Amino acid sequence: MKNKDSSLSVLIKGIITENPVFVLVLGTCPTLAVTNTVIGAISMGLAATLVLICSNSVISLLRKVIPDTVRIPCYILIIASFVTVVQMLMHAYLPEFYELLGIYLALITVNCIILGRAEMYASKHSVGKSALDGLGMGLGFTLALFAMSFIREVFGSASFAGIAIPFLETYKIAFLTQAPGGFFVFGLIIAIINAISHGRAVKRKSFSCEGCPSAASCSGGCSSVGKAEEVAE
Amino acid sequence: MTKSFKSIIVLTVACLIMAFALGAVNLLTEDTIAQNETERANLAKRQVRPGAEEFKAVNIEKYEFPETVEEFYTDDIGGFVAVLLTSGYQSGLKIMCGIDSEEKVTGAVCLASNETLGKEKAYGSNLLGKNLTDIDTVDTVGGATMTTAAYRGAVKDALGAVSIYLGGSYDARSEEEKLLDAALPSADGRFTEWFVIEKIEGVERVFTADNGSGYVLYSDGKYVGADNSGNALSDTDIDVATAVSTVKGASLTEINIPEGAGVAPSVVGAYRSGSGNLVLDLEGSGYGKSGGKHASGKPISIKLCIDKLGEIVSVKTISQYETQGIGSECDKYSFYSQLFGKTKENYREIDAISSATVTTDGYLDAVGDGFAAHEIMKGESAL
Repeated sequence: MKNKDSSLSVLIKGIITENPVFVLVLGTCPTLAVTNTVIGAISMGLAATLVLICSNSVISLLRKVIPDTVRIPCYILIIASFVTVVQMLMHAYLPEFYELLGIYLALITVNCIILGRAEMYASKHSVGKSALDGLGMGLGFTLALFAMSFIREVFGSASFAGIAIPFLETYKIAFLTQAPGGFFVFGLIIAIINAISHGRAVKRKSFSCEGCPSAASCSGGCSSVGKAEEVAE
Repeated sequence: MTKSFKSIIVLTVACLIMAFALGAVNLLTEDTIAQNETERANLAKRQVRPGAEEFKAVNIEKYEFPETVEEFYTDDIGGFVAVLLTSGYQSGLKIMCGIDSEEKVTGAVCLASNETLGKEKAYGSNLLGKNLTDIDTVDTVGGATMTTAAYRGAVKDALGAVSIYLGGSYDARSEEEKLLDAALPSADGRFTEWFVIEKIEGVERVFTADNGSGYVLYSDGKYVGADNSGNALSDTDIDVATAVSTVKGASLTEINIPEGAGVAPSVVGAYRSGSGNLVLDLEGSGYGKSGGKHASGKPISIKLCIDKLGEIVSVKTISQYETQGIGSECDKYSFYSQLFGKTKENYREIDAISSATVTTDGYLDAVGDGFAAHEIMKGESAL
């Protein structure tokens, strides 16, 4: 099997082929919550990217020191600490964005993307590659949030990044700025991606056990479901 | 055992390192965060105190401020800001009010509320420039009387707090409330006006204490307290015992409004008192109901009592949605008390509300319908 683990491929896969939002379908909560404005979406994306890079780097650095039995508590400790640092820095130096993100900034701690990449990649690769993976995933997350927010703000609020678009004012679809509209746009984009890739977008079942944080204590129920799906295909 | 020991050590060390790191970042950022929070709070205060830049908190424990005052600040141009918490229709009505050095309101905004209609959001602008002596003249908003009365009361408390801070005194009660309290101190300041359905010689208005401790009778500009046994608490010419027993024994029975007999649709309820007086619920068509696209569409609700001889015993405005400051005067005692003692021949001979012809006419038309109904329903008995 060809080794695709070059630095560039590590960076790019998080943006396109393994996009955390539209392909891996992770981090749905902030995706729906903060994407009714472009500014909110980009702020969330960049904050999550910073946490991803830092947590992936530190976890990779300590991967040979952290015992397997306590790896999850350690990862969560590291991730939560970085999220708190980002929170404090934003509160001090970017208070408008801090207010805009509200509770969802703290919720980055429990974002599946962060813990998922720590478990699946950072704990098995070098610091450099882990940092690149964090950057790629973070940029992919940011791109996905931007795509969602672009549709929702332009067509839902007739504005872009807070700047009004007068000729769209009469045609705006207010439903898009609300929760059901968010789900609708989310589903629509995933459908478009699947159509373009002819269904070749990486399916989540490939990561069912290997990347699952609960794998150590699980009886393997998820993996049997995954195998059943593979057989069905 | 070694494995567990290693896990404990690793976790403990990780916690310690992260705690130190977070502590370091906190040290770095805490002053900036505190500055940002102060600036954010000051931005809100500048809304109600234009021209002021800095604000300094006052320790409210040192002063006997009204209960509604939660926070109190002085500013750098001799004014004040108060944050008040009161209850309108629901609890949790939070207001910020700015007052200048002349003890006049410079701004009032609603910070938080659970009220249903949202009329409190714009009410603050009605209070600009008011001081303690004239704030009670600001009308409440029809349909949101409790909310806007509470709002006005809270801003009045803010003015009172400023007066106390500057070494003065403050009594939140209106003139009438002070007189009622003086007449019946045992009522603890809580009174309800009783709608007069039986004529009481020499008495124009009756107030009952909410705690049942007695009554206050109003006659010829004087308030006279009475206990439940009918004993007057001060010198008076009123037959207090008879008055109290009349109030206690008064009752209403609902009667039928005959259909097809020509009773106007403005008559929406009819009752008969023990002595045979007719009490009617009326809906007058003032500006609110008929005044075009900006009107609320709602009537003036009036309660009217006519005795067997066709003379008005009492009348009261229950609710109105007329133009604030103009037609809304119809809910003042000074307006509707002009109708006491009138008959169908002379009920229109009262001073109209200035610049509110539609309101006055609508009110009097409803009263006229009441007289007409009185003629038709003379023989009607209980349902």
